[in-house]
Amino acid sequence: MNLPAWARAVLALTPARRRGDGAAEDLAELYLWRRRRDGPWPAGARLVLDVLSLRLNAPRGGSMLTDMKFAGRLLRKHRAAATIAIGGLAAAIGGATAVFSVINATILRPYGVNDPSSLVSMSRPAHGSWPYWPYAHFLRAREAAALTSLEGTVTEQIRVSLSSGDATAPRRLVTFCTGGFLPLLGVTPSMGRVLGPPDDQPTAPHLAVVTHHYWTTQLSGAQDAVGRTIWINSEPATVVGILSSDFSAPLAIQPSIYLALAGYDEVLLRPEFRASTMADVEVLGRLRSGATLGAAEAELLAILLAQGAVRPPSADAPFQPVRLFSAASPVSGADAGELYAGVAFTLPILALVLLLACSNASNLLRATAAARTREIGVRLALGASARRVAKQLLVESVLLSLIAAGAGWLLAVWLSPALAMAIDVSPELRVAPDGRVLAFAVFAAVCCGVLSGLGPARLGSRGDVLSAVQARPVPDRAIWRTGRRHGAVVGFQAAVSMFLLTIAALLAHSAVRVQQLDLGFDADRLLAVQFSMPRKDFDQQGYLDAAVAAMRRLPSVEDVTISQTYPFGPLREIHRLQAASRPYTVFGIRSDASYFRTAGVDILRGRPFTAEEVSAEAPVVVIGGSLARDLFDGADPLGRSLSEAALENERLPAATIVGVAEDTLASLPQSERFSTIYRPLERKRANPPGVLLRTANPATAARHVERAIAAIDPNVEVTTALPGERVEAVLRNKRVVASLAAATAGLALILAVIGLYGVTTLKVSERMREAGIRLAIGAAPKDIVRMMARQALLPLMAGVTIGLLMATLAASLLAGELAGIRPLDPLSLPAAVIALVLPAVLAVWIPASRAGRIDPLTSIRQE
Amino acid sequence: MKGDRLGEFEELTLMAVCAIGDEAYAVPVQQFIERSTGRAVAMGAVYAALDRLEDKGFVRSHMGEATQVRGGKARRHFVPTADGTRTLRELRRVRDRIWRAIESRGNA
Repeated sequence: MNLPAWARAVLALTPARRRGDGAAEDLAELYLWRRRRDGPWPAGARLVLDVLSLRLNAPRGGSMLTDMKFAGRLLRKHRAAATIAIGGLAAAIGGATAVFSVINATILRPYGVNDPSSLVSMSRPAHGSWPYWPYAHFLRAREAAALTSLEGTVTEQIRVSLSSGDATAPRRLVTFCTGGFLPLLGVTPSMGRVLGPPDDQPTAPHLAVVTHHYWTTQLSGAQDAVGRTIWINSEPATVVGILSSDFSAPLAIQPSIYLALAGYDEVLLRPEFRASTMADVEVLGRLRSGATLGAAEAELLAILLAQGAVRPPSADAPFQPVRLFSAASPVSGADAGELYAGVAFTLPILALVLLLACSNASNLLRATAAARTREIGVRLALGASARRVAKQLLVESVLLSLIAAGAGWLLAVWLSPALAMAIDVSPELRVAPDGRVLAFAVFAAVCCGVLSGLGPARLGSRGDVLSAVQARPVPDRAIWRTGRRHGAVVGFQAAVSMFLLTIAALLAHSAVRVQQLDLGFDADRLLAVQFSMPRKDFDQQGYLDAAVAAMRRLPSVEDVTISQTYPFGPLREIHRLQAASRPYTVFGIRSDASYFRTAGVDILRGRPFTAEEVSAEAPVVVIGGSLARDLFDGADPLGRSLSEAALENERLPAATIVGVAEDTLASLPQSERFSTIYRPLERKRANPPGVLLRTANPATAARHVERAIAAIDPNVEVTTALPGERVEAVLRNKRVVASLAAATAGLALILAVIGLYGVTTLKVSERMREAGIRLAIGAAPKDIVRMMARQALLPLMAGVTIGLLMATLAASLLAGELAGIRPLDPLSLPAAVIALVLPAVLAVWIPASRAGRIDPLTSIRQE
Repeated sequence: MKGDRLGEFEELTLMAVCAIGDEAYAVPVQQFIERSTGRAVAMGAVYAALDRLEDKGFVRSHMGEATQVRGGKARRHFVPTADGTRTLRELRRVRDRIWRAIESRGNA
């Protein structure tokens, strides 16, 4: 017969018991007849349906469908136990699915561009693998490259409003791209058009292309959105296109709006890209057809070397100066390793929680399998094969987890946006679960089902016909054997939840402590101003004096100081030393004399340095209170030298201590001790210093300041930052990590308690007969309760110990995250133990105490 | 599972077997039912119905001669038993009676 290969493959799926009837040949004949009559596609579809129908309509009992129906009836019968097991599995699968959908949105989902496989990002290994290149180099490379088409983008956070003159509009990420960028990606807009090269001309009007997310949330998905005007940094731009919802940009960050790079100067009032400047652009390219990654990389390297834009690798910088990475998907780029590391950290924890839920479901099924020995025995006696019985039990567990996956799916749909918001996933990325997430949930469910069903299936299929049918009690040795396995399950559950609880308690306590930490300065009254100035032929000091004078004239500004570093700023001076045999982190601040007043740092003893000392860069220092205490053992530090006091720390400056000030928390605090030293400004410095302002409302002051000093010199780029916002972001981040850990640990705790309750109930029911005999021959009920409780409590305690040990090990690795507390925190550890042990003991005691109340006669007579 | 009642689909299958005669095996039976009812019929359902009919004693089956067209594999042929034909006739009589009753009331 003339069958295509795929049809033969489909026919191979015909169930074996139909083969004898010549079913495969019948189907082949029918397929050929239908192909002549209806064409290949309908005939093929019918063939697939027919093979499926053979699988579903099995002649005798034993099909998947019957098994499913039977399993459904059983789960209805054991409703309470099934609800508990399903609830646990649903929570675990739901949580895992939510996490997976975030991973999916950020890493796995393709960009939604045309032919992603030939997209490359041009990276600079000497600068941390980032794809940022000076604009001038980019222009030269783009002109000369024959194997790659290159385009550049700059992304900025800018106020975008829907009406003119709205100064309070939120800032959004706006990408300025060269004209060919969106055409290079091959993006089809869902409405309007994308930007093209003619739009990227200095004389062209400002045109904007917005993302689907921006369109739905800000332009309320209006059909007439194309043609509307939006104001970007008060500069009107016309919306010409809306990107489709499956598009996400192959860029380091996800913007909401795309503008032409030619408009950058007018929108941001900065002459960055008017000529070929050294300002950085992110470079993305596409390999021309036939070009390989290696050849294109070699070509770009040759171009840039010839232009003197990069230096060949040397001993100082042993990096290849240009690298091309595939930008096909988020995991193919230069930082793929980092992404994998993040996933590698999350997945084991997810797997642990799923395993917990599985072991619960497994216990429940094992309990029902044990209670059904009689039924299973009868089935075996009637001729069911052991495989058949095992399959039935396996189908039950898979059904259980599929139901759980359904509930978990709903949970994930609800949870994933919240999770994405908590960990700051760009709102531009659609986190809502899609097909891949569904596949993950089903896969997780089937894995859970099989995992939790294997044990019971083995137990059931080992069924011994005689003792089952005669309802003989299970032999003692068997009880002992299953007892050991249950003990292992209880121990495992206790260890996992103890581990997660301890970590969560440590993180939570640390978050609380950090919240209460005294920063030592008035973060929320400060505004930081940074300048980037031309390096050659520029009067830095003159400009600074003019800027400070202009700022002082503003009525809202209370005080101004010039300083090279400031707390939570981008630049840091850090000394690490030992004091009072403890590791110390000392932050250095270099400023003028008014720093203490401006930042609100109190002088505890002595005096701050004076303006004269600053202008002479005198060797004087003001040190933090805790450093004064620990370096000088309580002696008066004033007038002594800092380097003399800490001989082994030669890197500390030789300066006379003139004052003792409050310690300033200058960055994310670690668990070790920290302090601060304050010194006058350096005269020879690598970077221009910044200015700190003290004002009642830094956010509004920022705009006044920018406006007031913009006029002084257009060649200076002014940026403002709010230290208070930065502090808040750091604290928020800690709170989020702590609450995620707490949620996971809470889930693990609930699962462990359910598991313990289940196991103890099962063991008690198994040993009812024994308990009855013991009671009948004179055992006291409380001895029975103790006997029952012991078999769960011993593995519980073992698990708690193991979990605690593992958690303390992990905590010492996590020490950097545990600010304000020690890894062996005397508050968190006992709290975690109590949180687990109290409910666990209750979960054991309730079913165990039931054993003490039974009537010996009934329990012995049972069957 | 033996019984003498027929489900609707079993009845159709049995009638198809009678109508086709000697050549009745799964493929023509499926085609016959599909043609005469105008609805799509899955092979799995046809096999299941033929099995049940055989269990109930309404049809008998035997493996036929190996044919060249089918790669040398034999077909399973079905023949109605006396029981089968009698039950079909009985069913038809019942239906006729009921139809006469309906028509005498002038409702149809």
